Amino acid sequence: MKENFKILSCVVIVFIGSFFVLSLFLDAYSEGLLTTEKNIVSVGGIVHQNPKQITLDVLKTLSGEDEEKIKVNSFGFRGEEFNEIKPDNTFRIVLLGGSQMFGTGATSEQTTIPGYLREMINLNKLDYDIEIINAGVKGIDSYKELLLLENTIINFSPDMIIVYDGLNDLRSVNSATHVLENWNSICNSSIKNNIDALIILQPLAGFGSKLLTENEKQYSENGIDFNNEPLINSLYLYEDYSKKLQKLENCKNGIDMRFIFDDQIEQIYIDEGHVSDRGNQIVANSIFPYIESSFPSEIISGNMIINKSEGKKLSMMSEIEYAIDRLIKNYGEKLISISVPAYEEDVKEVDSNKQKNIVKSQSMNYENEEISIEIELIQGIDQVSNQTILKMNVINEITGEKFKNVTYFLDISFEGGNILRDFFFVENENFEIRIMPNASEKVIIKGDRQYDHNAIIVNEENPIIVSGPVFTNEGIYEFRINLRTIDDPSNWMFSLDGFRAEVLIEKVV
Amino acid sequence: MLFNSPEFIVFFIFVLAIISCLKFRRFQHLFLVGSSYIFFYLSNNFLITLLIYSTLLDFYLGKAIFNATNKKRKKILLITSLAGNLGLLGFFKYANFFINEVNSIANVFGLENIEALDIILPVGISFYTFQTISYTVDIYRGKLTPSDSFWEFALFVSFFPQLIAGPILRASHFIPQLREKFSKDRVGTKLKGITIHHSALRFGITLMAMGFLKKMFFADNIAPMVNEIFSVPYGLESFTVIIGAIGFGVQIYCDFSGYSDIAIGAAAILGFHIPANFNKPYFATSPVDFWRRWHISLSTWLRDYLYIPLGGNKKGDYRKYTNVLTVMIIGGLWHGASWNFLIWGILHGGFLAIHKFIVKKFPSLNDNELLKSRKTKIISILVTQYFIFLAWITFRVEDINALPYILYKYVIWDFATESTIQILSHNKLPVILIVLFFILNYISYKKNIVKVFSELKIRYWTMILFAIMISILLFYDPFPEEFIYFRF
Repeated sequence: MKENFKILSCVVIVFIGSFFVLSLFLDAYSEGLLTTEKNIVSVGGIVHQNPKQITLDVLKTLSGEDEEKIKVNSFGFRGEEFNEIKPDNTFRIVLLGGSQMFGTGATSEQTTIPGYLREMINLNKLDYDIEIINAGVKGIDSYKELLLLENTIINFSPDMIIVYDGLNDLRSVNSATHVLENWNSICNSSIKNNIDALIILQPLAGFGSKLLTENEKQYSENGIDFNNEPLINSLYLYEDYSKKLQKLENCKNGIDMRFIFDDQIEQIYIDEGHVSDRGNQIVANSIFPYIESSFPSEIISGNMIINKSEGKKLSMMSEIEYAIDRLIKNYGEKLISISVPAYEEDVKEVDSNKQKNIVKSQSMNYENEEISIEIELIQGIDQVSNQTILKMNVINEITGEKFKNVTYFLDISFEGGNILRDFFFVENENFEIRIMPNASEKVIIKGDRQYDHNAIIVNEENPIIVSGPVFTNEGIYEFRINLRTIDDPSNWMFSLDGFRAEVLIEKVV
Repeated sequence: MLFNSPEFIVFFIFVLAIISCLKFRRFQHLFLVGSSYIFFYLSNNFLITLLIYSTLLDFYLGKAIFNATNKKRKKILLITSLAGNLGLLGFFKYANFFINEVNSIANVFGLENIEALDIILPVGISFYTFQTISYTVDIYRGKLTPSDSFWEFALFVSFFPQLIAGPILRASHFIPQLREKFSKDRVGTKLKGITIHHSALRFGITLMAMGFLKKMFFADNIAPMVNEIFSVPYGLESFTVIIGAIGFGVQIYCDFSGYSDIAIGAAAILGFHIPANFNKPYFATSPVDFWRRWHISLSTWLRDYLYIPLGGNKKGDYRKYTNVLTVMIIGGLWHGASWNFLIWGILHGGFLAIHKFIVKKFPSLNDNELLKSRKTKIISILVTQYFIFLAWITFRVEDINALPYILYKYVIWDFATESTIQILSHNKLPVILIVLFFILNYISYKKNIVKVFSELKIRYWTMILFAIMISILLFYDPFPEEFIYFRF
């Protein structure tokens, strides 16, 4: 009896002890101690404290694989760099949508919907380059997709666009007519530009006939819209979306994917609207035939290779044309940025060791207002750490007011190489980050991320600290900034892209 | 109720606590029956009536067979028992498959379809009906005297650790454990008290911990890779198929033997001995050896109640091979009504028959000194396992039409590596676990790890438990896979 008691108390100690260790581990993780960036619970709680995910994440960080997790290209989209001008003999497909298309919940780049599509295309080995661009942006609905299409995507001259919609429209309780209008505008605009458009209504937990697992049932019941009403109450609204999908005017295809997971017994959803890798694979599988049917006949017969040489000449011509076109276009508005090493003036006011650089970008027109971005760099705050403070403001040129609730896509490059590239959301007017230059290889940004755009939240309480090889060399740094929201966190735009400025960095004496 | 759920832990602690408080032996036994029924009710609710039906039917038929004076009457009673049990099993497990197949034939002739029945598969039915069948058959054969007490028999059928996925118990092994022993093989009439002995407690807890480790750490974490590979079978490279087959083999072994370990461990704590269900099957040197090591309680059941009645190997060569094939096909279909299990059964039947044929044709092989060396043993293990894993593919594949393609790739290698590398690179954890599994499995092949662990000093033992618990928790996926053998 005594021996039994001893054994059982050991078992109890093991139980309590191991759960204690686990909770310490999870706490440390959510405090950001174990990864390079904090993992923030988003909409319906994507990170439901899944210990396995977290352990894998930490192991990845330890083995240095973490950096590759989500690559953002210079257009602010997920994925590898691509050329704005479409290469010859290339069939370019741009995938639009919210976080589902972006790949929230996918464990890797290859397991997003675009990732699986790329894999399927590679397997089919066609004599034609097919380029898949992931233009999914977290949190956008059909209206914002229309803006994105008209302002940005059109410039990429895609051959096909695929729009993957549902959750974000439903969460904003957009009426079915409103959604249809957006879809129709997307279709019209693609028809005008000779693009094939495919509109897809995405699957949501509890909105199809899939036999939900216990967890999925909970997600389906707990999902809420932006008014904090249960999402599942909008079942009929979603039904209406699906009916409207049949009434598209200028699109060849509208696909209702609400029931796509009906045959699946296993867990697919990881919250009310996001799916696992397996889910992405199933979706990609059913998109693929539509892509195949959109290929021009040359691809299938392989005739394109013959025209390749001719094509090349053409392409060079078009590249030159494009460059000229751009030059003319930008001539009027481009306010060439001037570096103003202003320390001579400031010497009297500020500490003698501090150097201040203030630079302004060109201005752009937004709703009849002239908007520009002011960039200020303060070097030499602290001799030891060589800290630099980067401040930015979006300014109304006419009234002199500063804008609040701005989401920046900031891209800093030096001698052609990219140094820092990320989204930042600034609630107040002042964007301020502290930069600690050091000789390490990686740039590490510490801070919380907001759901939309995956943007790092900047506020006065927790200044963002960036450490790594930023501003370590003297010379001219090129800033490129796209504004994604302005005035209001939900006021999305895709028309204020391409602010540019050059900043001169000199060694502090 | 799943073994890998907090509910089971609470339930089991509750049962242990009550049983050690109960003073009277009869109450202890009745309490075990009661808690087994509660356990079954919690996993299956009203389907418990099937369990009670099966228990009542065979308890009274067993008595009647024993008391019947002439042989003919015994036979009729036995057939009634078999019909009652197999009818139940057939209806719940095979009716819909049968209807589907009839419909597909009817479609060819343009006939009207029969509607599928709205039935769910009662959990554990394949296990407990086999258990009660062995009881009546043993009585018929005169090997067993029927149990006097209904409650004893009820406990034999429903004993909760093994109720849902085995091991399949034999009455002759289990029921005597309920009585005090006089000597080594004489059992008295006095009920045995259930006391929890500290060495049994430590052994049981260690075995259960190992079971949880196999299921929750190994099987559940290997599953995603296997699911990924088998979800889109067309276009797979040979190496991917091989990795998928090995992955699934490891997964199903960890899953099922993990369950058996938990069952045997839980029973051991209560003082009951349940024979082992697995004995390192992936070190089998021949198909016959594999079936002596894999799901032993089922393979011996099939041997005793199917292969031997069919004539075994005593009725000539031709009959021997057909018997082996029949037994393995039925063994395959025991897992469920589907083409996968049928083909799996045929393959294993084929392996066994071919092996028997070779051994018979070249009897000199048995005595050949060269073949007894260590090197040849390793080669025979590899060759045997190549075929065992080939059979696992048929067991796992979802789309049966893709089977020829996958098997072709498994047999004829294309040496392509592009997508294999890709799959491996985003499934590092499963791959590491598979390698780790084989290392641990090799160690346990050489040494009885569970025994060694449970006899360690208590502080080292606690540390090992802690390590197991932490590995499970850190790699715990809140969306676990169900035990594979719950479906059977």
